[in-house]
Amino acid sequence: MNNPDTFRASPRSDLTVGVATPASGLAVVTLVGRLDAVAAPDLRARLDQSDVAGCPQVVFDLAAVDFVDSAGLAVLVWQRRTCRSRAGDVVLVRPDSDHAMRVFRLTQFDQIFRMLPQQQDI
Amino acid sequence: MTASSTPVDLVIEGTTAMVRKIGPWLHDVLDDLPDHEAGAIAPRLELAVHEVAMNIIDHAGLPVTAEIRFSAEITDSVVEIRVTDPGRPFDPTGVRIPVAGVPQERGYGLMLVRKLVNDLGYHRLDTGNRWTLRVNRTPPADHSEMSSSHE
Repeated sequence: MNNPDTFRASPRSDLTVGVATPASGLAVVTLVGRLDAVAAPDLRARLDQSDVAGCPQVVFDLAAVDFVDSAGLAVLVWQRRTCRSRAGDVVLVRPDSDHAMRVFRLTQFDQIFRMLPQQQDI
Repeated sequence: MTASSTPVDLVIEGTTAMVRKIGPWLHDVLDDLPDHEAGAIAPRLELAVHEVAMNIIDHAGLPVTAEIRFSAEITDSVVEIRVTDPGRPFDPTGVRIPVAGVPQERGYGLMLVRKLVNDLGYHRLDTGNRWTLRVNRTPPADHSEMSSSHE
């Protein structure tokens, strides 16, 4: 298992990204903060790096995400398409924040993605 | 409208990084509301206004150094936010409406706005555009009903 590494998507982004690869072909991406249009470009660039890009299975742990906008959702859809093109998929750990979770319900993303209540259920 | 108040406007550059100013401004705007109302309205309005601002930044072709202005009015019954920009006219036919159960990367912004507010208006001005977002205020007894009525 690789040690998880963390970085702030950009100095202004208010989103911290942690990546761990607990098994071959599986990346767990833990996000903390705001998953929005400010953070989305840097997050997408981070996901394009080889440790995540080489994994067909990606878990986004959104438990500590407190704000999600449509640009943040777009990153998740983009990663899902990438994983599915490699016979994999994306799984989400649901946000603890009711306000963040509301975005998934309103867009019906909670029906599109497999969403787990917590990471230990992976 | 009665008992209205007019908080200070927010003016930002038309760039993505500047949208982070919307949340703190809205919390100031709603500061005089009872806690139960501010707690219910602030998250909805923050995301809705944020999405309108991003729609302007992404699609209005704003001139360099263009500014987006946000103004607010609170009455006994409504919180109203007006967003004004100097960009080109909004073209609703250019919006790709998401299909339920079919994920796509674009088109969710205005869909979210419509679900989060009670009324969304758009007007073309002589020199730009004005969006108007209204959220109904509710007495404490109706609080739980309001929270679920848009989902």
